[in-house]
Amino acid sequence: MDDPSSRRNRIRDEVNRLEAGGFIGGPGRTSVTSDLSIDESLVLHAIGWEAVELVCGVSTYSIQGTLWNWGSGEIVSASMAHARALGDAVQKLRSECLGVLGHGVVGVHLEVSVERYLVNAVLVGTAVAPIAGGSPPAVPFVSDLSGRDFALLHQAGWDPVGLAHGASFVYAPRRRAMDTVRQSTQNVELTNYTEALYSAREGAMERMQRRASELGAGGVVGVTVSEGPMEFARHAVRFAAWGTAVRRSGRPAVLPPVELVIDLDDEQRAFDPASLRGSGL
Amino acid sequence: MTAGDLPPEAAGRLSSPVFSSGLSVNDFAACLQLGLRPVALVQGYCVMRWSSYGANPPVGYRPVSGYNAYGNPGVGGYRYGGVGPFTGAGYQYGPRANALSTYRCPHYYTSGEHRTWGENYEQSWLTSTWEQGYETARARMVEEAAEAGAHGVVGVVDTSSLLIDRSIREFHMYGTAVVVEGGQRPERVWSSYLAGGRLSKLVESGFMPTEVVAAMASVRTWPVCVTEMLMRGSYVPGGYMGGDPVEITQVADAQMQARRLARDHVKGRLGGHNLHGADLRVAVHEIGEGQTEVDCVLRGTVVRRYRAAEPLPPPRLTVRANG
Amino acid sequence: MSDTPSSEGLPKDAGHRLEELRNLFTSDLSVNEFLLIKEAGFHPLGFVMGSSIYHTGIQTRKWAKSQELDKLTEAMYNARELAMTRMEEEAQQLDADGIVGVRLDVNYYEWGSDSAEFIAMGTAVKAENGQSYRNKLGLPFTSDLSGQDFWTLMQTGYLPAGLVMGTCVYHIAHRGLAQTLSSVGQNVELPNFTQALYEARELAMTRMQDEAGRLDAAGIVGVRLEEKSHQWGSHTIEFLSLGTAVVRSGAEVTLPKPTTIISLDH
Repeated sequence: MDDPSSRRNRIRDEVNRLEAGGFIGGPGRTSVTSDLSIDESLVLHAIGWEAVELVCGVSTYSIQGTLWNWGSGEIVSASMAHARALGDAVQKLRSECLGVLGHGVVGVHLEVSVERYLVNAVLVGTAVAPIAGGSPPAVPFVSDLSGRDFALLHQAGWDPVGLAHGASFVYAPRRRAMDTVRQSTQNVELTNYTEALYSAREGAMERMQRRASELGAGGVVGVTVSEGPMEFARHAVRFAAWGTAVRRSGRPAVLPPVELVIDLDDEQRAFDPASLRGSGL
Repeated sequence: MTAGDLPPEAAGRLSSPVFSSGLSVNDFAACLQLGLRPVALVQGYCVMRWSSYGANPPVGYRPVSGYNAYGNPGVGGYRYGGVGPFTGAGYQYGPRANALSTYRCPHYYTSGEHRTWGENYEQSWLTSTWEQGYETARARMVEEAAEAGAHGVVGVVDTSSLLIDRSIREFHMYGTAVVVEGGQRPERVWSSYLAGGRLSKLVESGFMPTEVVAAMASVRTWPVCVTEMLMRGSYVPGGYMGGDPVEITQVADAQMQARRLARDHVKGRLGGHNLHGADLRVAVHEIGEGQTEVDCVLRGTVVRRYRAAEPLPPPRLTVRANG
Repeated sequence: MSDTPSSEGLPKDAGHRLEELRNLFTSDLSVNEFLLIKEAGFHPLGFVMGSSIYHTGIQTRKWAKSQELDKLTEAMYNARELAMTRMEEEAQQLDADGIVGVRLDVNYYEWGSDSAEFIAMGTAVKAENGQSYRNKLGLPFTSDLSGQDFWTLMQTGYLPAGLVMGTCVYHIAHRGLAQTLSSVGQNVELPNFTQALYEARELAMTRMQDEAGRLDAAGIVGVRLEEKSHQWGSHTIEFLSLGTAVVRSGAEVTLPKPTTIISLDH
């Protein structure tokens, strides 16, 4: 294998063997679908896991009777809709995962869109299971970590337990008309926005942590936050955070020593032909 | 033009001694190392008529019997497989839409504008148009490859876009045809979205690509009153503002259905082999009055295992010093 | 398209700038690319460019007929060729063996609705071992390869010979669309459209391959197919096919077996 010419002969031998009908599987066997890259599959395989099925969970919740632009404090119905949409999407993902006897879902791609009257949460990932088999846990884990990250954590003695998430929507009360006039020519802090953002951020993080504790996690890794203006609500701010809750597995950590390398690649170098496909279908 | 009839320009180009390849230099080098010799850039093309019912309910379309209560997923959930006849050898949907789930109005009054029933249906004619366009483009690409004496096509790129007022859809597929040095003449030319390094890893881990595969599912909602009002924000369950949020089941169902159908269509074509590198893409269009169209395309490479997986040599962990 | 466009000579400013490059080099290479080009045995000489402003006006087309617009094809082709030739001239002045990292751009300016500027630029390089690496026509090779790709290509026993391209400007018929809007649920192929667009792409690719043939190339790597409507409206499309023609450099060098690593970065 180390000799280049033997590597070159390998595909030839395999092609010839295939033409002779020498392959495993075929009609009657269960197919595996996976959106993992070959690298991720290999790394997963190295720790004794494999992909089972591409799974998804989608939930849409309506936001009730909200007056986005007038009020004070938290916009409870929006925060609730966000939490339920994500919670239900995770549930659907889990039940798809259990349906194919997966032990958990890795590489979950999470997409949440907030519109004036609804929150839509879409989760897509790959259900995985140990190659050795065994019955799946009652509650399979859900993680937005890549297959590679999952394998690294696994080796380091940590297991993902679930997706911890939290979101908060808060009104940024309008300034009094007097203030608006007075401040229009000054560069001053808009304390209403500062306070609202603070409150939303703390609320969302708090919820995420609470959910992680409920899952029995020792911590949350890879936290992603999402904030930004909502075009339909200029006097409200939103903040959402999610990450993978992890806990110690009790297995000994087996991480090889780390080497230092300098690579000569530039960032944009890896060309992905699929990029030519553009944003369409 | 039928499949099996290459344009004269293509035939001339493919017989040229100069190879052309769409591979990046990295992939080119990796293919040479693997014993794959690029012979030609090959392509296939097909333009299909693309039609839809617009914002109206389907012509001659009736709600199927057996209403389900709205908001009760235990009853009104996803009806697997729909009503379309299903056979092992490809999908045979009639021109009629494939009903997936129905929803009933919970109110006790009706008016002319009140939508007393709702239904999600698969626009199965779009599924089959997509399949025909994709398959034809692939067949033509593979035919060019066979013409060039190749064993397989690597680094396939396929694009599809709506042209000219969304009334036609073009399917274009191209890739680099390769010859396996010293390999037997294959019965069928294989194809793969992967090329170069990634293909080489796939082969070394015990898989051979069979063919590129893709399927589309397009699900439309014909919204029941509740769905329509929820989408407009004008429905207030319990009668007070700021009440508990409720799930818009019909829309969530449509999103799940589109993804599952695309996956099932692809799985139906795997023949017991595996799908590698699945790429799931979804586009949601609003077609007025709370009507939603969810289009979903799943593509990937069918791979078959020819030898049990060997464990990877222990990887080395590295940290880049060039931050 | 048979006659090669003549170069118009270089502007005075360019000559002066190139004169200064006797002792120092300029390049848009990254440090990584620079090191790899040195590793491959080449030295960067200078940043070279060529430009041409071309009138790419309009050609009468038949509304109902799909056809190649050969005058436009020729204009698009000649304009790029002219920009490339001027870039090559700059490189020749520097006594270069080749140009790497070539980029071809088209710019539209407000002052000319039917004209466009075609620009070619890249970094001229020269072999350090004194051997000539020019192509069969005695010109510096051109390629759109990055420094990394250049190094990798050299390792596989190939050398770039030239950036080759083929283009075809095609008009797609308007008539026949009415028929496409008929009854729903009938999925049929539209053979006229298929045929037209297929032919246009094949023409572009064949022309590119012919260019490679003139350079006695073994093949073309990194072929890209681009489609642009420029400023002609949606029914007229330019299909451009671009790639780097390569020749065998003799001995086949093999890359070392890659090592599996897991990067802990990012």
